[in-house]
Amino acid sequence: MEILDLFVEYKQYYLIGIKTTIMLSFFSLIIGTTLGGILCLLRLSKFRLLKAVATVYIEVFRGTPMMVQIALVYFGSYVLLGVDMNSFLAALIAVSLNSAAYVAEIIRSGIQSVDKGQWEASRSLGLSNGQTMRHIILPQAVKNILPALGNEFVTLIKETAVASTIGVLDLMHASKIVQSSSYKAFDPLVIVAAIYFSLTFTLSKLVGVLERRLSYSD
Amino acid sequence: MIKIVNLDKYYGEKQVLKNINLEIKEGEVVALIGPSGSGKSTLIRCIDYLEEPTSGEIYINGKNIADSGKDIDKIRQNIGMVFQHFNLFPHKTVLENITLAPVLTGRMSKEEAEDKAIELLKTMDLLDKKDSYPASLSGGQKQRIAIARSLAMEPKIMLFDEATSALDPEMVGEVLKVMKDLAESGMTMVVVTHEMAFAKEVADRVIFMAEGEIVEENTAVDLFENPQNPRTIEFLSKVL
Repeated sequence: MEILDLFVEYKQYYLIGIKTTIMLSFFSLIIGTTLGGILCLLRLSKFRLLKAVATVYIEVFRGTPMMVQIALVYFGSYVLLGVDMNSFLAALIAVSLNSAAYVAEIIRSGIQSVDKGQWEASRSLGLSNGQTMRHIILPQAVKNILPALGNEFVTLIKETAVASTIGVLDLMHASKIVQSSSYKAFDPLVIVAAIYFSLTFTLSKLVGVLERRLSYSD
Repeated sequence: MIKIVNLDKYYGEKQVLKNINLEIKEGEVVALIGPSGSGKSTLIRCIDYLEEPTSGEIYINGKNIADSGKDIDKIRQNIGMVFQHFNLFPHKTVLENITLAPVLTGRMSKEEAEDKAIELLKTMDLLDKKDSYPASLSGGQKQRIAIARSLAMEPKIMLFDEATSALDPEMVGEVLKVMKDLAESGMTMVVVTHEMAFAKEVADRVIFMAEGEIVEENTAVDLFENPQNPRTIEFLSKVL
């Protein structure tokens, strides 16, 4: 198999690329989800100003291409702040901020999908707003949004490929290196597609397992 | 125990409660009856502050609930509420549904709450369901669990908002029996109901509401057998 030989020959590039892509995805996922949760709470808050800030943030980040956002963070940090930012860090920030906007909307839809009667029953028992959110609403919301969240995580992994445009040594970048050093245009693309697919497929299977675990009460 | 003074409630332009004045004493069982849209449910929900009155005051044991701020949770811990659609927590087992609030509010330790829950389930004849999830229960079972969940907080007042309206006819009896036993045990109860026979048998006082107003109130026997207001007479002639 010629294609396997190609992979083995350039495996050190691919391994670096895989490692970078996984790190970038993993940390963006953690940071993005955390930020998304906070954003969602702002969006649902009673204070108009907080709500407006969150709404503007979400609309801007969903309404502009990730490739532009990454370039803005990377080059903007130098132009505006005079900071020579590490390209991995710039990608991490941009991907996290972008994902947060989507996650915030997913969580919001999840919270709003829980029947109003659940709030009323919990509050009528004397539980506080926070206790109700944590013990009654969020567990049900998470169960409802798991498929959408899994979708977002898969998208996030694929979107990190854009980091290669600012020089991050991720999988996509590795593939470009292999293309130019092997003088082969097609085979490296097949390899990189297969690697991305195995990453996303593993993740969606894991989410599927979690979904089944959470369906115990049905 | 409950005192309502000049209560008004508007939804936008529409006035759903008009100048309600009502006092309920400890141990009293009060039934609220009337046609749909008469404001019964809104009134009972105001008592638990699930609806905010537009004006007027509600006092629970002398405390104005509108001024309670954060203490509203404390007040609610002493008021149980049973809903038409049960509102059990679907992601928790029956036992967890019942023990959740006593433990989280710090009222009982986990062991105490479980003992209490098991005792309640025994009286409801539902002990075998303690590890089931609500999805596997019948409507009547769900509503009895919901009552047990409220009682686990050892409330001083129980509110029932059309507790049997969503049940299949053959399950109404089992829930009414639990409510009747509770009334006989001396619980202060406010019951919004369409079950006239139940109101007549169990309630100390029956209040007839129409179009957001208290039209007539009297002891159960007098209201049903000798209604005074033409609107009460008309309503009773339709439902009895």
